[in-house]
Amino acid sequence: MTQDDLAKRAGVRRETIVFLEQGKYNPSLRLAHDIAIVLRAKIDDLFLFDDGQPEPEDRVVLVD
Amino acid sequence: MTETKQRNLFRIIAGTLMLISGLVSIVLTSGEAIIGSIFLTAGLAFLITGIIRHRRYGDDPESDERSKKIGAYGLSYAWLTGLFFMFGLFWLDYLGILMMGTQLALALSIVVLALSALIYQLYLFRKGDVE
Repeated sequence: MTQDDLAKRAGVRRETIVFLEQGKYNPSLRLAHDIAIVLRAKIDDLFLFDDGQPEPEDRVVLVD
Repeated sequence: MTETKQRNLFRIIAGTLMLISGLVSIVLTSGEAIIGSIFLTAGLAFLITGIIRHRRYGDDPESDERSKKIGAYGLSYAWLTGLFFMFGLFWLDYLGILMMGTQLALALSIVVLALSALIYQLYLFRKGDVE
């Protein structure tokens, strides 16, 4: 799939996809969701939030 | 025809019509060419904008979340810049350092507001995001 195809299917400009790939643009949750739907992947697999902090060893998981 | 192409076509047609109206108005009115000049300028702006947008964006959406975000931030920064500029003009005039007429002050303010909006938006578009 080309950047242009992805942009058209996600409803954004091609340059938005370019900057997303370069990590220079933070998408809204809506756009991240739309791209994940188009690529048939999970948002977690596509977008990594890196704030420089190490991953906590004991992550809290909320359950019912 | 896609919505984007239709919108650009309307711009080109409107621009051409305004251009012709302006030219006709300037030719037909003797001495008073202000209205004609306004139509001419506006027509040129519409025409050039329509052609550039058509060539640059084609079928792409004219705006998306990123362009709206950058547009909004650019205008906000420009507003702030304009505010500081007018603040400076006021104090320069109040202290007698720089005296200028109302027309010139307003014209300069308009130029600063418009130019700063353009510059901020261009910078943010090249950078990629507002953060």
